[in-house]
Amino acid sequence: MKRALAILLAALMLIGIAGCTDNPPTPAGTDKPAETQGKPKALTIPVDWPAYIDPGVGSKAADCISFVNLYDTLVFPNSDATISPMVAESWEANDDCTEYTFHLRDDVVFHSGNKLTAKDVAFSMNRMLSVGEGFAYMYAGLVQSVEAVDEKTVKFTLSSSSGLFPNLLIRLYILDEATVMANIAKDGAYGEFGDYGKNWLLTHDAGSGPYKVKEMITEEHLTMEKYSDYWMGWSDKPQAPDTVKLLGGVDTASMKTMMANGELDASDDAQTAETYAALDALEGVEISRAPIGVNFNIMLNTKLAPTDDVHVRKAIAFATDYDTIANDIYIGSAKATGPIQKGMAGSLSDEECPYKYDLAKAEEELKQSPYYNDLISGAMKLSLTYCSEGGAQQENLALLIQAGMASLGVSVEITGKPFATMMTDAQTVETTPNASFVAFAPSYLDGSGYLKNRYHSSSCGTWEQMEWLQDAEIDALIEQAMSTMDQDARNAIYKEISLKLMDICPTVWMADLASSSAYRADHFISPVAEMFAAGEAFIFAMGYSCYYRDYKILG
Amino acid sequence: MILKILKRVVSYLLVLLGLSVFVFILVRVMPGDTARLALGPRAPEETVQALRREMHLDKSIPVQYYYWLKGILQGDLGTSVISKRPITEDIAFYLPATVELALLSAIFMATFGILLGVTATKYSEKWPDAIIRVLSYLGIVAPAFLWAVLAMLLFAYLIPILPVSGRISAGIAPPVTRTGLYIVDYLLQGNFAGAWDAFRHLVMPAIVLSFGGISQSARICRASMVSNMEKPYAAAERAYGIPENKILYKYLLKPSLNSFISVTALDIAMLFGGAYLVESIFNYPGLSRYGLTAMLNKDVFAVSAVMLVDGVIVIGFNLVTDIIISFLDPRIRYSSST
Repeated sequence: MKRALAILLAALMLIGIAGCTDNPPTPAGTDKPAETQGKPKALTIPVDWPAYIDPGVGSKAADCISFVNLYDTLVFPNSDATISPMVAESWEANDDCTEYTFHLRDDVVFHSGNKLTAKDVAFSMNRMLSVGEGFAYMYAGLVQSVEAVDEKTVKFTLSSSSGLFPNLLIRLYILDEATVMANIAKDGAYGEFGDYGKNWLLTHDAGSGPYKVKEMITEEHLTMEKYSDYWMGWSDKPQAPDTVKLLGGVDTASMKTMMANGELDASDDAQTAETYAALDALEGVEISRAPIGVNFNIMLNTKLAPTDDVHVRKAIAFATDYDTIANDIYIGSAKATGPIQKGMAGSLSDEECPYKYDLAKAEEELKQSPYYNDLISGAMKLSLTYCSEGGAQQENLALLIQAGMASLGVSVEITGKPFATMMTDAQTVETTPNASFVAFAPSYLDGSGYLKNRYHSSSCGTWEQMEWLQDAEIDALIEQAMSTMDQDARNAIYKEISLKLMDICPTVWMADLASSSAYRADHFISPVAEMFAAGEAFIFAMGYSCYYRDYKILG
Repeated sequence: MILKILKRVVSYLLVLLGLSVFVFILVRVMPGDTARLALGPRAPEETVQALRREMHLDKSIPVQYYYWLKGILQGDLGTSVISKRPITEDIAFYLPATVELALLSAIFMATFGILLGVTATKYSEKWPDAIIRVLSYLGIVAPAFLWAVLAMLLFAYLIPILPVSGRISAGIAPPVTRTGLYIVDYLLQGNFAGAWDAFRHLVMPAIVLSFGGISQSARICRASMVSNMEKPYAAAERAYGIPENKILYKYLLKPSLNSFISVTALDIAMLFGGAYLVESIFNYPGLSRYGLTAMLNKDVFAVSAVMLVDGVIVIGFNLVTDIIISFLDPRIRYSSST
């Protein structure tokens, strides 16, 4: 026993002595070794995990952050929801918007050293459609074929007219065909393409973006390093980080400690108001809030009593305390003015949205409902489901709605469910509750990004439309808008659709959410933080607020 | 004795089979569509259907079980829909991390459990015993996540001497995998700095994880030893003038270890599956955290595999404990051989 204990202690001492001599403990107990501190401009950011860095597979926030930094796209989304040329210098469409021809730059070089050509663009689109995962749903059924006309020209043929096809291309991340094909597993599910490089791309990139994969540990982090030969150069970005580590699985309990001792440079955006306040109190830490195009809705089932009655729906909309939501629950968010994020082309103004917190109006609406007596007597109740993964914020919000309706004498039964269960419930009218909380993020910033997925009949039976609207007129207008190339004309139709939706009130548009983040302002500054501090209006498509080439490391 | 062990092995195999059926059915009746969750809420229905077919999720549960069991017998645990790679690869990474954590916790548990137990016995009904008793109750009653937060506050925030996240520091390359245990692998490479760094990352989660076990072990050790102290042989040893420490450690400890070993071994086995909170809080890439992520995402094959691995570990520990106890206690050894 004694001998065993002595051996154990000796081993521990040996490790300790060796450790002390070879590599002293990091200063102040931080996780950054002494020899690396102060030298490279580095960022460590927590993200939702796992991140899929294959553009043919991933589509969630962490995936998008990696895509925008590792890959280039034909067009780039701006912070005012417009697009600019990127790899494509210019483009044109035929008269009915079923054929688009893009002309590419000739100075874009992949991380492999290969030149980016039209063939790579065609390969990337075909790969995405074949794999069918990630953002493939944006192009499936729309892109009929893609052809490399010559090295610098690529032509897309669409199965139906689309006026906004270039806007959709912010999610077509261009892969190096030669690199991918050199790394395919032959026995995959895609015939001559083997596994289409899916296994290799789990931990490697084949892009031309400003950063490249340095290390991808599937279990915990992705480290990206600056691509020194990036075609846009670095001379105008002297403060851009040299390396960025996206760290997965950071628990809320450890976030504050990690930020305080320098192991993390920012928080994620899923913390409570109390946590942000605690982080804000740390020296050098500040909070920034960015609109990210996400609107938070109560989806009302228009085919299930009592929310099949428009007066009940309007009563809920008038009984919702929008100010409390923006000021106390989703701090920094703005009251939504309709289905399209306020401020974007085609959205409604404050005056055009009739729904404000007004219990008198709510009661007036309720009294016009044939369900009034049943609701007041308690014979009929409203069912409301929130997402249990949405944390305390959604729970508080559910209680707020319950309190609002209680003041009218209506009972609301609240249930928290995992999102997986909510998706299953959304499959039939009968299992879809009267009211469901859903935060909706469009894949691209355009009115149709909101309207098509949310209100077109094709999305009924999915989590994106628990309203079961099935309105032929709305469907036709959405299709008409999407085939219109002229942006002003298209926006006018979006506005018309939004106004019609106001009348039938299938949704309570509660808030245009802001993504909050605590960050070490004494270490770096991001475009989001700069614009937020300057009070500018801006909006970013998912992932693009983390385009690290535009970040500045201080000191 | 060997016959008894063989009988145990057979009965444990049957338990494992039953566990596999139970686990398999349980994860499949959980709400949520695995294929849809794997591919995202907006994936085209055809792609989702194709994945369902590939995973045999379109078949009945007994047929699915047949394919799963067949795969296991061929060493194929399936592919994780979360990590998108074979589950055997995932387990090969995560299990050693948890083994390393559990081993250090076990060392803490056994060492401090015995030390505190013996000390409490030596000072039975005096103030050291009272202090150890209070600490033990605290350790048993307070949940591990509370200790985790306290330890983090103390050793990483107020007195920042230990890291709070991961297995190694940024900038330090992982060791060449030989055992999967980072400290051992670094030592085999002769990289003492790496071993020290890995050790520092392990200390806090290991202490936190072992807290409950130390408390329980100390109480059991004390109870056993106090009971044995009243036996005639202990009085005889005192009458011969043998020093108290020698009586405690040499003559009393061994016969008092049976219940200590049984409980501690089970505690250690439970560490493998019960470290969810600790691994999550310390962002430690172990099997428990992997299992939790798999469960939240309804990664059916991964959940089944993790639960099965945990089951094998608990059963293995039980078996080894039985063998150790039978060697320590001749009464059990002889009764089993007759």
